[in-house]
Amino acid sequence: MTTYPTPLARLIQELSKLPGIGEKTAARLAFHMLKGTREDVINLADSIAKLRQEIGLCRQCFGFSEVNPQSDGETLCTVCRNPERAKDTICVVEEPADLIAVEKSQEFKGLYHVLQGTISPLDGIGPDALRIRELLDRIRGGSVREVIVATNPTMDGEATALYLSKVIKPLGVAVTRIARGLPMGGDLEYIDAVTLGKALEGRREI
Amino acid sequence: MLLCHVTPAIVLRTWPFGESDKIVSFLTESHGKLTGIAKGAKRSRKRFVNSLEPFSLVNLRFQDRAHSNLAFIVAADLAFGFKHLLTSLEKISFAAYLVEITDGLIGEREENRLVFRHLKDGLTHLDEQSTSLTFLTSFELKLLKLAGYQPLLDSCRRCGRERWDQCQTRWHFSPRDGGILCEFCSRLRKEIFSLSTATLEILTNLQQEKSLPPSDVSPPTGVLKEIRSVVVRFIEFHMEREIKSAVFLRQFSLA
Ligand SMILES: [Zn+2]
Ligand SMILES: [Zn+2]
Repeated sequence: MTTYPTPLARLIQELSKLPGIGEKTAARLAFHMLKGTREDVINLADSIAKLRQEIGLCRQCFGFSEVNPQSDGETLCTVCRNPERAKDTICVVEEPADLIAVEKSQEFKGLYHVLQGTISPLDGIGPDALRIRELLDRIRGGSVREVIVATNPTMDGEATALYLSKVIKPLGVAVTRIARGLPMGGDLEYIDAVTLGKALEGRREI
Repeated sequence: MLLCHVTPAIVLRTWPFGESDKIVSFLTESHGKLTGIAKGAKRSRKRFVNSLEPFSLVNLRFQDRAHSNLAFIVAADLAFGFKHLLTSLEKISFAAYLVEITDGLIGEREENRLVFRHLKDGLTHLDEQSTSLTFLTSFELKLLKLAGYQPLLDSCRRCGRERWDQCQTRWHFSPRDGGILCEFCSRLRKEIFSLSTATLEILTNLQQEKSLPPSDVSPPTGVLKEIRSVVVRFIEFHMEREIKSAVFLRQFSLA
C-alpha cells in the first residue's frame, strides 16, 4: 500500500475493512470515486456520516428506525407506526436484517420484536442478554394473541424458541415456530423470500 | 492435487466468517479435533445442507492447506442429525455440555478414536433416552479417562498413603494433584474438596464402569451432586477456563 498517495491509501484501508471487500476491490472502488464527480463523492460521504446519527433502534420492536431529532432519539419504526398492521401478532427475529428478510416475503402483516441475538449455550449467552424482558412486557400490555418465533434454524435459534415458548405460554398466548422445512444451519437473511414465506405460512405451535 | 481426507466427524462449533463462510470445528474419528473453513456455507444450501450445526454427525471430506491451520472443507454430508436433541432445553443443555467439555479436553489433531466413539455414544444416548445425573457423571469420568486425565483415587498423591488405611476417615480431592490427598497432605493445598468415604467409594465405582450405566441404577442425587462439583472443577482445571454451558445445565435441568 506504500505506493499510493496517503489520502488514497487511507481510503483503501478503510474500505477494505468492509465485509467481502479485499484490498484489490477497495482500490478499484477508491479509483472509481476519484474519477467520479465531486458531487457524487460528497453525497456518498454525507450519507455514510449521517448513518449512525439518523438510524437508531425502534423503542418498541428494536428494529432499525429513523431517529426523530425532536424526540431525544426515542422513536418508533415505520412498521410499529403503521395503523394497518395487525397488533395481535408478533414475529420474533434475531437481528434487524432478519426483520427485513421477513418483510420481503410479504407474508406477514403483524408487528415484530428483534431480540438482538440468541441464547447460546456454547457461548454462555443467557436470556438476560436479549430483549426478552421487553417482549414479555409488550405481551403483558394486552392485545397480543400469537407470537411467531422466527429465529434461525440453528441450535441457538431452537434453544431460543424453546425458551420463549416456556416463558410466553403461561401468559395465555399461542407460540408458533416457522416451519422446519428451512435448511438447518441456515440464516433467515439468506433464505429466499418464497421459501421464507412458505415457512411462515406453515408455522406450527410449540 | 491435494490429498482429500475422508472421515466421520461430529460438529462441535461453528462461527460465521465474513459474508458467506463459516469456520467449523469438528471432532473427527481419524484426525482428532480439526478446524476448517466451509466456503459459502452461510449461503449455499447444496454443499453443506443441514449438516454444519453442533451435534451433527457428518461424513467429512477435507484438504489441508499450505501455510494454514485451517483445513479446507470440501463437503460435509449429514450422516445422522440427532433430531431429538433439539426438542427440549434440557437436552440442548446436556448436549452442549458434552460437546463443550469434549472440545475442551482434546487438543487439535490428536487422533483419539475412543473419545470420538464416546461423544457419539453420549449424544446417541441423549437423543434416544431421558437425561440423568448418573449418565452425565459417567460421561464426564469416562471422558477424563480417555483424554488421559483420570483422577487417581487409590492413594494419597503426595505421600502415597493407601486409601485402605483405616486411620483415614476423610480424603480430599485436589484438582492440581489430579487425585486424592490424605488429611495431612491436604493442608498444603489451597483448593481441595472433602469427600466422605462413602462418596469416594461411589466415585471409584462409577469410574470403573466400562460403559454408560442404565439410568435406573443410580446413586443418591446428593452424592452425585457432590461428586459432580469435584469433577466439574477438575475438568475446568484442565480446560483452563470455565465451562460456559454449565450455567445452562443448572438452569434448565436437574444437574
Ligand atoms: Zn418498531
Ligand atoms: Zn498424604
